[in-house]
Amino acid sequence: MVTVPGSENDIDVLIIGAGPAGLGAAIESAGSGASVLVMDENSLPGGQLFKQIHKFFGSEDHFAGVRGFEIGKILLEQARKAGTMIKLDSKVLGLMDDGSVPYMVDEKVKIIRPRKIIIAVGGKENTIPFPGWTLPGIMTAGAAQTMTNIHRTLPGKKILMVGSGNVGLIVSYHLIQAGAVVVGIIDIANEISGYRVHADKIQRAGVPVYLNRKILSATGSGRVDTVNISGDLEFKVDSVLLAVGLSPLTDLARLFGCRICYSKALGGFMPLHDENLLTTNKNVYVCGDVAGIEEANTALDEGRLAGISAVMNLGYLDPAEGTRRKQEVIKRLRELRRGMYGEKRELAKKRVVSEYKKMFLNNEA
Amino acid sequence: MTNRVLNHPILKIKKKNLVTIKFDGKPYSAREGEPIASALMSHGILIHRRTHKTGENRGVFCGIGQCNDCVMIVDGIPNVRTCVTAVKDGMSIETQNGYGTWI
Amino acid sequence: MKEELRTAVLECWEEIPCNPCVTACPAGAITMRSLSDLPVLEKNLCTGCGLCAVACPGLAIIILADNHDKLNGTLTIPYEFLPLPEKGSIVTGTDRRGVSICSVEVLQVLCATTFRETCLVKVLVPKEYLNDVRGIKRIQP
Repeated sequence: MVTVPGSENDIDVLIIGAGPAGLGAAIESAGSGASVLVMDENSLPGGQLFKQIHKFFGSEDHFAGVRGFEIGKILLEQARKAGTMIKLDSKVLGLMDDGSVPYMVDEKVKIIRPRKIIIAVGGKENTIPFPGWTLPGIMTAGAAQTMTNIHRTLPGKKILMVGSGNVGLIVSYHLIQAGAVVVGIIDIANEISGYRVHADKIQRAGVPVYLNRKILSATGSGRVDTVNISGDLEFKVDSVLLAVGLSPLTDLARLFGCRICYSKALGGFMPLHDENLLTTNKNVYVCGDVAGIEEANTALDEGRLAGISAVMNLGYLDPAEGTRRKQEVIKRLRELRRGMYGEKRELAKKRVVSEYKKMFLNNEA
Repeated sequence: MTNRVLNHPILKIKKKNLVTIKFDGKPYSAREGEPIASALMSHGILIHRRTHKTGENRGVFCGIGQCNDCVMIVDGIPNVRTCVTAVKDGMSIETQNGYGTWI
Repeated sequence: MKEELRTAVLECWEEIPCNPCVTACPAGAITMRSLSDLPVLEKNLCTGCGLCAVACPGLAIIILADNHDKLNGTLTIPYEFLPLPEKGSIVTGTDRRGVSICSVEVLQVLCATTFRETCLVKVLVPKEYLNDVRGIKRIQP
């Protein structure tokens, strides 16, 4: 294939996923002079950011106090200003032996040949099956959040939320802001899994949280109208939402030949990576939720780190400058991974990196 | 009865152009560019199809085009994922029974 | 009459990396050793202006004034629901778990573009309930 410099064929860095991680990677790599293409299978960029209508935590560097959808707009603007090309409705299909990447757009397959690839595809929602879980009206919390915050449509008016992690707590708050009633949040654990402040907001608004409870069954004719919860609890509802955790979307990483490891604290199976977010495929980096379920602020900074690592390797950044930038981002990531929730993730990330190092030490790769 | 969010403390409810879609023969209004699933949901329609073996009702589950539970017959074509397909003026949407057939 | 104490009350219990309250305070009354430490309020510097209450992404800060008149204090609460309560109306004050505590009168509803869609609702609260009331019941549309 003929490579025309400066054209669509001449891609230094292909970033798969236009969420905060992908955009962070784009801002750093395009900002260093590389030709960068961001691809996303969705019709809208921004990943999960545009559904988030609450103010984000973190520091000024992470747009703390700014609502998620506004952060999405800012990052998109910054990525475009840095010279990033963005292709939407484009789905990457795999990686060929000669390094070419086929992708599908408008039901046609096209090929590009990037020098480096950054996978930033995020995670997917987990599910739990129970009798009646297929009834219309029962869906994932993310599905309901998209419908409500982006398409201005509520899934129902009387909703039960299953799961008291941050997603369950935040989406419940979004739903009552949109005018629905959340009859309760249930969790199988004996304490609320999400942040205390998220729980306080929703409990202050009168939404009860039931702990040590399991969903036993859902019934209804047509759509769901009743749920049975352990401990003799029953609710009349018209929608049940599942917020039972996220897992990294590892398919592309597997297709690209990246070795996969398991980390409970980070959401399960995920691509093995080193401290520069390089996978076992020397041209492929990972960042954001695909490299372990964390938050939008860590996704943004991991994206930056992957972007800097990729362009340093390509020679676009002078080693001293590159190292300096990396240290800045790593310092911020460390700050974000502190406190009672962050510590677990910091430890888990360290384990992933040391497992990566052991692999190369034993010459397994 | 509508499931539409008509006012919101955070989001600006922008006025969107409306289109008309047909669901099982009846006309319904929809916001231009929204997914079919959202248009139906706004009218309280949550049953998209019935399963092949037992005729169970199914509808939106994952909302991102991965689970295939929301598929319907759109303009005569079966197995269309309504959560990731945008409405078009005059579009015909039908409840799908079973696997759907290709004419 | 005893001088009134007006202060921010920070109900931020967990070490989460977050510091908009520090940046928002014009008096420098809130400090944090590192990003994930709990915020520390210097009561002598706090003027009760409410900017931290608006800035806190967790809506975990309220402003308490303990001596509005002989019988009542006031609480200024960040609020993000519709309909907004009306000035002069009577609403229900609730505790941290949403349990109704007492009726409270709405003294002021403050919204500003710089508040980014978080409004401040100031309610008159009988002194004996100042440490219990932490929210108001949503108004039925």
